[in-house]
Amino acid sequence: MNLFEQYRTPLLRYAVSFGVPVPDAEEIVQEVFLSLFRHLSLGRSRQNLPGWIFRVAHNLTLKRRYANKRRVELFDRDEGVAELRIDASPDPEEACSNRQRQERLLAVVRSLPEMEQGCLRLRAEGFRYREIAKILGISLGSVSAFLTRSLAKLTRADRG
Amino acid sequence: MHGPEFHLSDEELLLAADGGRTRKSKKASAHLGACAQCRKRAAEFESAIAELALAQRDALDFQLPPIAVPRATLRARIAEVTAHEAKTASRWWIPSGSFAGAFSFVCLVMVLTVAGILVLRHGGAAGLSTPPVESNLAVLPNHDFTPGAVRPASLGEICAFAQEEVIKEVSPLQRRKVLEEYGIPATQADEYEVDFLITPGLGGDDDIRNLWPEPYHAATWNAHVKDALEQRLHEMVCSHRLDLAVAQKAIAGNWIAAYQEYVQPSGTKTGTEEAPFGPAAVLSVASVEDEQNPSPRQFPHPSLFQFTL
Repeated sequence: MNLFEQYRTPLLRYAVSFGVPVPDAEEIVQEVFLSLFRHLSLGRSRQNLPGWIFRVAHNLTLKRRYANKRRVELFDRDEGVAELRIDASPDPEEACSNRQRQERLLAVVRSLPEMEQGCLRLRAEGFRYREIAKILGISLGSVSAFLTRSLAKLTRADRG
Repeated sequence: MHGPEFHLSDEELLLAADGGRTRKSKKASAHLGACAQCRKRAAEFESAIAELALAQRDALDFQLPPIAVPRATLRARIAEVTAHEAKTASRWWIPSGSFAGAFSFVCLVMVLTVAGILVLRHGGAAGLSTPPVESNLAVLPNHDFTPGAVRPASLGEICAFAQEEVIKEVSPLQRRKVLEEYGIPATQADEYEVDFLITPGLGGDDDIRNLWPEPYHAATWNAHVKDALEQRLHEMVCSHRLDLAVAQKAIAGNWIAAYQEYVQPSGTKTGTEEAPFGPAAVLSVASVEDEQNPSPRQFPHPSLFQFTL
């Protein structure tokens, strides 16, 4: 599996989760990989390339989102998507319950401050705290504090 | 970390889950092994993360387009970039004693001059919706308000990061001040991006003297074009082909002229020339990451990086 195949979908998901429409997110992913191409062509560091990729994607996403001012669309899109999604579960009650739980979680995440959302979404993509700190340009303590707060809200929502 | 009668704080739980090598992390992990209550809380956290990951995938993945077209697009763009690089490099490499080279250069200048005159005279008829001179005036900053400002930064600092990595946010207060300075009414504020004249990636400061309202919908000289210039200047500065101060001065003085000087006009690109290194050769990084190991994303030895799109 190569880098583009491996990270295109997580990057798209990350950008879209910040309110960037899918076509713009696709453009961001292209920019990220063109930058990676230049980065590697210039003989720069190859250490922790996933972290590098997400850091560039994070910056481009914020820049694009600021330009687009379409954040509200994401909220509508997520809700619309939840309605459209077909659940493969054989038990309709269970499917409904799962869907409601996921909608509740997504709603909680959307209500969080931007940095907390970033920490959570990157953790959900499998990054470690130290990597998240580098990607977002904040301290490890801040990552831990943001995640602690947001996870507490998530677990409360999951129970509720 | 507390004594055995206490439990881990939420923060300690998370750091233990990260599997760090510090003494604190090791002690937290040891406590976790012995404390059922803390394990339960840790499991709740992990479950919430896993649930979120699943919810995100369920909500978004099915609407994402297939990979084939974006992969082909990226491949084409990389080929274009490499062809551009090769062409630009050869542009500066005309042997001084070569009569043919000099003759070609003179011919090119003459053709461009004649073409430029024709375009200026008949721009509308030729399909240009906005005459270049007018659009330039509309998209250049007012130097009385925005002369440009730089922060003290060494070449090492500038080149430690890729241009795209250094992005600073403009605060709402700064944004408002800039728009006021330029006399842009609040009702039209959404039509402008308050941008850095000298990009932070080239040492630009977040001082108001370095911020200006850039129109979103400029037909020709828009933010994407300026981004390309910034990228180009960063590459030239970091490969020691251009002095940092010269690059800063160029972009602050007239970024459109700087673009015309340092970035090849897109219309002259053919994209058919053979690149010095192709996308398949360079942009292919085969990752052998262990999918079963969810925590550290360790990449293989650099020699294993082969990129196939």
